[in-house]
Amino acid sequence: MLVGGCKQANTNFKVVSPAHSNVHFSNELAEDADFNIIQYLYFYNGGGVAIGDINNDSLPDIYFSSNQKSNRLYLNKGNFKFLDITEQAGVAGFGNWKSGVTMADVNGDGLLDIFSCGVGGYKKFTGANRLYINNGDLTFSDQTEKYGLAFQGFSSQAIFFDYDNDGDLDMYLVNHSVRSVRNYGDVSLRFQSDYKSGDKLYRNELYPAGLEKFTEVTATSGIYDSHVGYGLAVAVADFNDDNFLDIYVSNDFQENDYLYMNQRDGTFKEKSGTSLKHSSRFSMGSDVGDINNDGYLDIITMDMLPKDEYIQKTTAGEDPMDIVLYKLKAGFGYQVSRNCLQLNQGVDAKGEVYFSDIAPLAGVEATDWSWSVLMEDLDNDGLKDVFITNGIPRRPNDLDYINYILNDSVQRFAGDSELIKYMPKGPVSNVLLRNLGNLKFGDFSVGDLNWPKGFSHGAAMADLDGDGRLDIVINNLNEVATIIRNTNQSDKSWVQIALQGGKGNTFGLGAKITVFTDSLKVTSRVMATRGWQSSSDNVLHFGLGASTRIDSIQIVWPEGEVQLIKGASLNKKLTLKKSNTSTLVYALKTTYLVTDTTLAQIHHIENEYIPFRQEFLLTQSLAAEGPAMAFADIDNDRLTDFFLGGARGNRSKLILQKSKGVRTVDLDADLIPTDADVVGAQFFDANGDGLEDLIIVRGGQEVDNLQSMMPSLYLNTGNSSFKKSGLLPDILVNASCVKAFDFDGDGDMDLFIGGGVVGGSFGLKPKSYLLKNNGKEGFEIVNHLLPTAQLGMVKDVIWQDVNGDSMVDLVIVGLWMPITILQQQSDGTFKNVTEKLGFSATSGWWNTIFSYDVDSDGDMDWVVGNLGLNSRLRASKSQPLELWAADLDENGSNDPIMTYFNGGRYPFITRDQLTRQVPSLKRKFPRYSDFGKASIEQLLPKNQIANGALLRVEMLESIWVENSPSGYKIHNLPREAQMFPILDFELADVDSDGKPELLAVGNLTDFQSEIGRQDAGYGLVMKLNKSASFEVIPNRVTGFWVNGAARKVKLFNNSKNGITILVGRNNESALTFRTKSKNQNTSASR
Amino acid sequence: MKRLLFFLGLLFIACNGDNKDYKALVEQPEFLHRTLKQVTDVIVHDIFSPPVASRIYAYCTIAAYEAIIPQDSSYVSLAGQLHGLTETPKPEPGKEYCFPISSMQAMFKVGRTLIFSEDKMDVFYRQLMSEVETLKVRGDVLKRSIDYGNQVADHILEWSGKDNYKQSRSFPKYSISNDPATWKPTPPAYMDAVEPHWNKIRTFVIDSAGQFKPNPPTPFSTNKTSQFYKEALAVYEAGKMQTPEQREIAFFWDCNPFMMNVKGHVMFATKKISPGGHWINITATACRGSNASVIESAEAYVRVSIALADAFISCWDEKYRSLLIRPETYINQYIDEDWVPTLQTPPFPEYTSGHSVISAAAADILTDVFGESFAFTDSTENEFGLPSRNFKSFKDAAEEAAVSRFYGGIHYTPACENGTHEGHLVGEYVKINLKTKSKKI
Repeated sequence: MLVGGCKQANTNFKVVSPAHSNVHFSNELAEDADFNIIQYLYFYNGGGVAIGDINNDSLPDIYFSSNQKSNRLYLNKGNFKFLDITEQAGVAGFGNWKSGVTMADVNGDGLLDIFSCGVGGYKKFTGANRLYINNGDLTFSDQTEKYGLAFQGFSSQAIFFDYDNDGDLDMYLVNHSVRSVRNYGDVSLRFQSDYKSGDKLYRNELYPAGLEKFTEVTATSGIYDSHVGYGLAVAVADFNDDNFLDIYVSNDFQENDYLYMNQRDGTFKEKSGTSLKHSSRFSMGSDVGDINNDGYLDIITMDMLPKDEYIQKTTAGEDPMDIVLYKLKAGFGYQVSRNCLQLNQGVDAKGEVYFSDIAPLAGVEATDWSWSVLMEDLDNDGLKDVFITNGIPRRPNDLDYINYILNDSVQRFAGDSELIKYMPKGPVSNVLLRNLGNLKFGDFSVGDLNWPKGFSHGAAMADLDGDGRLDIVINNLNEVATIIRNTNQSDKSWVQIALQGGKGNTFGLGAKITVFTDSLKVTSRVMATRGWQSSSDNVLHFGLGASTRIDSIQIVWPEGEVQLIKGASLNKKLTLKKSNTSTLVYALKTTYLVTDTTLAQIHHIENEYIPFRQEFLLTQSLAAEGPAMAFADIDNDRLTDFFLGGARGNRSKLILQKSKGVRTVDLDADLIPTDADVVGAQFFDANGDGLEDLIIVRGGQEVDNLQSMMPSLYLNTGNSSFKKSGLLPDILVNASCVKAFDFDGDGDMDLFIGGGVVGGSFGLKPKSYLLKNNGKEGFEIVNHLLPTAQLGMVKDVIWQDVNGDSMVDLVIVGLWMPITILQQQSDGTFKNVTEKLGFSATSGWWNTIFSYDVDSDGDMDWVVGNLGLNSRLRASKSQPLELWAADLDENGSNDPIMTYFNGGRYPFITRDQLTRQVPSLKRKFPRYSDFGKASIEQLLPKNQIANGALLRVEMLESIWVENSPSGYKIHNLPREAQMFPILDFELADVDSDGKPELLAVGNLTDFQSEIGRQDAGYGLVMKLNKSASFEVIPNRVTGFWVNGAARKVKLFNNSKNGITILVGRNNESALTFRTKSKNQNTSASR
Repeated sequence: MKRLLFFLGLLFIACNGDNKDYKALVEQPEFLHRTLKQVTDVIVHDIFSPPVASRIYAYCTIAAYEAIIPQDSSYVSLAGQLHGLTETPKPEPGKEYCFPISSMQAMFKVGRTLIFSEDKMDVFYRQLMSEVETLKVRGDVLKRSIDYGNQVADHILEWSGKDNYKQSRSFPKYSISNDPATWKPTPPAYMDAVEPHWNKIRTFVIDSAGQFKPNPPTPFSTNKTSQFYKEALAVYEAGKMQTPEQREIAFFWDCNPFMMNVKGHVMFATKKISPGGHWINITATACRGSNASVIESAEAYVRVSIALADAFISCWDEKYRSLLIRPETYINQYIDEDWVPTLQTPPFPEYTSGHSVISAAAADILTDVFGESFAFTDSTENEFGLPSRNFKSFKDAAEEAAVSRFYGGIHYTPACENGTHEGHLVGEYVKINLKTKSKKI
């Protein structure tokens, strides 16, 4: 089917027919009573492909694994002709179940050996792992026992690499588990060794002992070898550039993926909790590659989120919120049921490496039931593209199957075959995505291959015909294997590099190579085992785009030695031998900023309130908005002090900066009650006595707690103490922010209090409050001056004279609302000029606005923080997100339903969420399939559709707004600034060049699980370049590393001696960064 | 409703020949039994939780009862006896009715409104009506009887709309507490706690959800010498040393409306009748065994259903008061990580045992209706692949239902014993306070 269905005209890839290639291999899978998905949960995992030049004739050969029949070895005879030499070679594999395959020169004789994994010792499964040593004459000898690699259990795949830098290839074996998934257990299970399911590390004793054998060293290596590790794939690379190779293991189900960082002493530490903010849940294949040519190795993992709306709605996806929380409490890391692209952000001052999952931003998050992923440059433009295999013979996660099928169609206590018969099929097309640069992937010249829907598993790449283009080989289930010849016609340059390493690592596995040309820098690494149960050719292929010459090639050998080659030629395969190396000393780079621990004890503790338990249709929680922070010199010592608002149940704090250290005052709960989150605060002189008084506003979204959400004013009585003032009228508002300003120019400070949300009715517009200061008579609500008090779900506001009439105006941003400008008129009223000034189509998921002269042209511009582009949500003017308000169940409360565009306009929520809130909708949608493509029109009454949506979001980008003589111009902030929601901005001269940079911090973790955590941000430092656009200075250069949910960033101290930056985080300690003293302040090298 | 009226229209056209004996012929209790069984089947298909199912049974049977009693003046209406139920519409004096048809129609309409899969109800109704057709009831009488059934149904449905059920759909979900003594979601589906606010549903006869508050459960402890640990250990050991008969008893009374089966990677739900539905079936068995008339059957159903519904409210009130941890969670954590109970743990707190409470209440009513030593064979579970069981009396069956939860590994002993006591208190109260007819069948 895969072959026959392909259109071959004018394509950039051509399928080589089996008649031409003589490759007739097909992974024939036969289901029977003993072998099926119910007897063995990984029955549909398919087979792999290993490509390597077994006879050193420069023609890469192909080895396929077959689950149930014989593995096949095909010798490359050139011109896409192959010869099946399995029988003479003696490499058929062992037993009745085989899985992953790889090639490596295990004994260091310069010839590629073959390793085949199997499943055995379980029910009727008799497979086992085999090592076939290459005899050099197209025959192999099974020397598994001799080498000490005999193992029978649940092997997925093996990877050969030198973990201890002793010059030989060690082996990591990733095993899966058939532990019942009925009980999640907890992470204490990791410490229980399980022989058949636990992963294993084998040390090669070739060097220094000179023995042809391996020793299992799992027990002392720091590797988890339990049955809760449902290991399906493994990748190896040096992620933190410490010259030791690290390991990434894909785990299925509740166990998070493992990131084993090499401790450089023969042991590993599992650091996913530090380095990854989340990982794929049903992690399958993986690959490592540098997708943005920054020299750092990124990780991609496959999962099974379908793009197709119908399949998405009819199959089980993300866990419900309570199960997410349950698994987190059991100690497992946060996971998402979709592909992850973990962008390597580099290392911090402690040597910890950090990744940002940018799969949604890059457009690679949803490729359905995906097995293999390979990152290679298929069009030679210098950027690595992505190839993904897909398809599941039966979808066990079909929700109608799970919930309804047995009752209606199958007899009770039916046999396996009956149960399987009713499981829907899931053929899916393979996916080829072109790297468009700038962290974005798109279709690869659409239609080139016209993939038919089918079931493809392992895949591998190599330039099979030596024409400078990478070809693809795919192992299909019950179909002939596909060989794809790359026929991209291009004048782009390339180079291929085959390494000849020293000692026992003859092909230089683990080496990282960077090619520097006149226009490009491209980094790749040598590693055979990649993707899914497969291994690709050891010859590295570099597309070099428009390069006209290679300046140099840098090889970092796995033993920590570096070699530089100058003046290599383009468009050739080079063989580079290890020589003239110098030792690479591992040292952490110096950065502009260092962290300061002065405020590390200042903690904000959030109370656990899960609004999703009350409002089932809610997309976002606004229950963790704090801490509020306010800054002023309270004690007149010319050092900035600050107020840190407490969440419900926790006291607010006053932190007084002293010449040496800080003094923290926990504010009495009698003074500032702890019955609601303090979410906004400001110091200002309320009564004109010259002292800094404090206004606070409260929020938290608790439906039953509105009576506690009252703003309060505290007057400074001197001596750093405050007393509650009666100058403020009683206002009940779940607020978001407060900003003081003398808007009426009468010499005293007035207030604007932003309404955040109506608890229990997300989407309704809460009231905001304008308060006029009447001196001793206190503040007066003057909402009549506003065009309406119900401005929207306000998040932030600035007071600024927008039109230069010397009267201050209001610029307001918030959730599901446009950047709203209220211009003060001569009579003191405010007029909404949003549309007039061209902001009517700026409805966004806005969090913050910050005003400064970005382009130094003498007027004030704005930077505005939005949700960003790194979630499953997309929005534009023509395809907005919409919030429909309806009381579907007629119970008197608003049911907010968000729609989005995915081929058409659909409700974002699942049938389960919807029918939990409105059970009677089960009548309308008796099956998940009935809801699969239900439009909002089917959900809501006609008159409500006619009224239109309540609110919309038309843009999700964080932007800067240029104030120019010809009007306002909107510019997107750089892609890195779209990776995460921006919650606050600040200016600070981080690189000490005399000009301030723009800082941004954020992350939001409280979304419905289908949206998931937005946690890819580590804080950003941006600099305006000569062409007036922002450029990001990487965190690894600035040293500005902000983990967690940042809420506020503030330039705390600014003196000749340098600056201090303070970051407030939700439910974590505050962070401080300072510049080093001038003489130490050298810039980092990358 | 449009489709339904359409069927009726067809029917009237077809119904032209009258049969003088139709009055005797409509006195078939099977119409009522089958209608209620159809409601049961759809409840199972639509996956209603046990308390919600009990609510459906209550309203269906109240409607059926109210629609048939004009036939016999020795029966009294439940209006004024059930909280908030106002006087039921009366038939037109002097006009002829077939009240068994009204009763069936009222039950059908209430059932169809409260379930989801209307199409399944309609298929059944078409069949039922084609059978009614063969009785050749006089056209105007048939129409009038059906109209009256609908009228009663509408009255009951309007009343049902005020029981706080609709509002309770958007009450907060149960918040999992970190307190080790409290209930946590259980394998394999880790479902949300079912109906945490069921005590806010209007009761039928009992004063309030908390009227028969049982003694508190044994204090939680992880200490190996504690009573709680011993009770958990008893569940664990009973599971390990189970006899085939105990196992059979456990499964016979499993009554899990949504059991998630896990076979490797494959999950699928199997569904069984709810505990309340089981007792409805026993009631049908008893009616048939004693040759109860239509009106006697309607009376038996309504009394049992109301006792069941109030028993569920009482039990659920305690469940979310004590919030007790299930044996599976406790045993996995403190005794044996790999232990799996014989039955799948239902998704709500442990104390008291729902099956114990409702079985005791139902048995009290059935004993009152059919007598102390009414022996019967319960074949309810045949369609779910299980054999029949014989019981000497309703009390005998209720006691077995209670202990089955201990055998099944989903309850500690006090939940069964105190639950049975709680059920008797509800049952006795309903028995005394709900008047249908003074004379027993």
